[in-house]
Amino acid sequence: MQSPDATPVTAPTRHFLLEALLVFATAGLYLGVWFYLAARDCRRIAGQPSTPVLWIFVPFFALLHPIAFPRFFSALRDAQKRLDCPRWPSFLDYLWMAGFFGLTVASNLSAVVSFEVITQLGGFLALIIWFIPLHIRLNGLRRRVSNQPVMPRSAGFNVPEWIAVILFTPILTLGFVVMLHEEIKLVMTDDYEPHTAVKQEGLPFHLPLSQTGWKKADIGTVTDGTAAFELVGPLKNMWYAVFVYDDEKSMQNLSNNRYDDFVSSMSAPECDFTRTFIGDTTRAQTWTLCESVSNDATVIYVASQMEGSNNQIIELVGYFEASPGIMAKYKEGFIDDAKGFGFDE
Amino acid sequence: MTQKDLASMNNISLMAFYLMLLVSAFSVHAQTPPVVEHARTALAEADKSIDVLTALEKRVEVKLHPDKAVTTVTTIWFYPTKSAVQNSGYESIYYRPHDETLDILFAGSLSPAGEVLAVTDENIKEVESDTYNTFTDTRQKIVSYPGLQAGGATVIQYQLVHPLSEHDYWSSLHRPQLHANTLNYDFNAAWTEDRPLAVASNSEHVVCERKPSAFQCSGTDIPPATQDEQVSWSDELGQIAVSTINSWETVQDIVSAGFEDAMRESDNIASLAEQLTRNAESKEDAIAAVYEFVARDVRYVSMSEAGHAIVPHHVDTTIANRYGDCKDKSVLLLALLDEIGIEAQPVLVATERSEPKNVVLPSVSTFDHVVICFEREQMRCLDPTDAYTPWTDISDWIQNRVALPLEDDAVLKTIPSDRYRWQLDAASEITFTADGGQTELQTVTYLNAYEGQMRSKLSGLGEADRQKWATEFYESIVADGAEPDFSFHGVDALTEGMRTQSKTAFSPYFSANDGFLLEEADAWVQHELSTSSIENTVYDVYFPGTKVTSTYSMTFPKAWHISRKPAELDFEHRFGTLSRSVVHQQPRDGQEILKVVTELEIPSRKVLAEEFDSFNAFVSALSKYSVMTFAGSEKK
Repeated sequence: MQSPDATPVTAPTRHFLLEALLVFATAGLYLGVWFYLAARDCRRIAGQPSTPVLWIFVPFFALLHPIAFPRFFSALRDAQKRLDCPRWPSFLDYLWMAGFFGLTVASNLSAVVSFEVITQLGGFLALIIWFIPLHIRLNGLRRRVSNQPVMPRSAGFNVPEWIAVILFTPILTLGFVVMLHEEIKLVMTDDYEPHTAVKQEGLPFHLPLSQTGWKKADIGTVTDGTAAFELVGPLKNMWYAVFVYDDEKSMQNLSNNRYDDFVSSMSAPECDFTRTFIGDTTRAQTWTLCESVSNDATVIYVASQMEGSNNQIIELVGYFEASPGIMAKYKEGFIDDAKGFGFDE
Repeated sequence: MTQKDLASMNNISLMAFYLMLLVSAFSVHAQTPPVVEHARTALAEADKSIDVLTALEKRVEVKLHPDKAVTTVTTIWFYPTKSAVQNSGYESIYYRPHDETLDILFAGSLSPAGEVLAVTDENIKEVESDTYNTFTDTRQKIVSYPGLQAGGATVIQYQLVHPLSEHDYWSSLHRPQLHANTLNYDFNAAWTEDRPLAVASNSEHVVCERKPSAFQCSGTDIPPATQDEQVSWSDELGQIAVSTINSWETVQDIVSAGFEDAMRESDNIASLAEQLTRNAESKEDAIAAVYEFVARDVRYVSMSEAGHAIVPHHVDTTIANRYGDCKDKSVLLLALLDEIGIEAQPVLVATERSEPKNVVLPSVSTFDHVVICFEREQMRCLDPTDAYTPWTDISDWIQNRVALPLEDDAVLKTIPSDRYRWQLDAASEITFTADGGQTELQTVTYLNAYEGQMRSKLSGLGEADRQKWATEFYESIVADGAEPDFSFHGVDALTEGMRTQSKTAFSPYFSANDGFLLEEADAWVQHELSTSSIENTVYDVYFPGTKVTSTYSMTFPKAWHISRKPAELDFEHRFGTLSRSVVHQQPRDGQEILKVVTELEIPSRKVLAEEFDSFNAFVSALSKYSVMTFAGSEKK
């Protein structure tokens, strides 16, 4: 620990754009390092906060912010005062804390609530932009003291930082672009009108849709590409896929295998597994509905296999995962629509 | 004697033989009746392109005289092929020896060239033709035509003479359509005003004309009746009927008189009824007791001769003999039921008929059986010749048959039919062992027709034979290669339910280590479905109804987990239903249990020929989907 009389040594300054790039390339994880170094530097200048290492975790958990950030800003203001640095008006401190808290809450919620990709990307970029003024403020502080990097830097970054930036920036950028492209394409696709029956020329099925927001998707969007038709629902994890089998597959084997697939991918599911005749015919239909409930999400798989004439079998597979509240709102329509699946006769 | 003497004698014998043969041949030729010449002409004119057995001519002449009814039948058959000769070179003539005489006026074969070889007594044999339980005394004369060859013909003319007193009745039935082509068919009935004859026809193959004292029908090129797996020819083939009776009331009066006489002034009925029902605690117990006595303690012996064709023996005679036919047993049951306060009535049954609308004229001979019916919660019909069916069920062989109650309105009805004639409950408790084997405790309760059938199979067998029979039955339905140990309940008493229980241990046949996929056939449901398909293609069928309830309780070792339960079934169709509920009881004491209850219900109904395909598709689909499959594995 440095003596109070010694000239404090802090981390060197870095251009805010490079800092922002590092935060982006590390998907925000660098914020933990940044706050650790900031807390360490404040402590070196003003003797507080007491344990800088704990600040590694603070930016990621919104619940910690109301307790931790006032201390941080108190230490920062104290350090700025000691070095006679210009400070923000205190309301700006609180405004920044409030903004950062809100963005972190949204980020935390995305772990349990589904947001569209564009929303998630927007939130992430907003967080980075919101972070930049604080970084500039800390740069002003560090310019007034001696600087010593943790590792030697070249052109703004040390070796691990360069690796992270060079490796992950393109990957992350590409990932966001692809997801955005899919989302934009989906947005551009027309929704099916509610209470319409979906049919596809050349395919012998119909599927009634009672809810808004269903769209046709490219084959392979929700399956491994073996489906004949795919639909995505108004919510993120909500889809149907239609399969058509023209060879002599056994409907029993097909439904049994599908049941096994469902059960193996779910946690303690409850399943309804029933066979009936289709109308007054002697062709059979198997209906499978498996539901798995946990505290934060409910998962539903549905499947309906139907025997047609000439050994043809059509199959609908559906998937829906949502929080209990969302599930309660959409579940009935999702299941009823799947039950309405049948041959286009 | 020397050899020369012997040779000389042989020559004389040979000459005598040839002489006799010549005289005999001349005699046959000299006695040739007109019908033979007629047959020769018919054969000569027969279309030689005919390649199947064909009746060139069939002629029936009925004459009702004041003192007799005479029926003369003439038939000329053409046999174009050797197979026709092989399969049909005989004639069957049915008659009732106690009521009528049969006289074969002429019978013989014609070679393709027209040579005649007459039938002699050596070519005729007579056999009993009645079936068990029925009360007619019909016999069958079988005429085997000698010398018959392909391209030839046969001709037969016979006469049935039924003597009639003033109060006697008589009827007869004729079917223009045979099981072979008929080129020419003629029917002529004649009577006098003093003794009129009721006549009617519902055959679509003849045109009939009614005259003041005659009735004539004729038809040509009548095709053969189409064969099928299961046909009631009495219902399906059109008929020409003649009868001296013109109302069903008369039939009731004729038969009722005999029943009343047989019950009159009995010395034994009251004491017998008291003895049989001494321990009965309810009316139902009393009914069961008297029925069990008549059905099982009075054996079936038919003594229909000497005026007892439709008149039962007196009940005291039957009690003393401890035997009787359906009439005798029925009147005894009727008297005993009357004694315990049950108002019952005899009901005549036509065991070969199910369609009242196809009975064209009233006659006593329509019926060949009698049972006792009464109303108790529902219509009960007790057949005392059935020693295996409890009184609460109706014997399967009389269900849905044409019937005439002797005391109700004189209208033909049908004996009530069960909604599910074949019914059973099977409960199987299966415990799987850790090494992949299983033990099974199976209880099968037989109901309705199954109860009587199983009891009849088992009641005559000793314990060892019962085990053997039941094992073979089990192996044919449930599983082979096992050695079940059976116990039987209710075989020897009609009052108890009939059920069997088997305990079977199966050796290990799979391993649960790497997961298992098991199929359980639901054997009793499968068995019932395998017997439910309709094999007819032409004639409508009465499906008797079937109901099976199958319960499986499968317990698995503690270390096993069932990942896929059998599918539940909810098959509903206009022909019936198959439902299955599945309960997967999660670990209790570490053992998972699957409870599977399957119910098959196909109600009785008439299935029309145009429905056969869809009915069989229905049965086939149920059979396909009634197999249970489930999967699991040993927990790691």
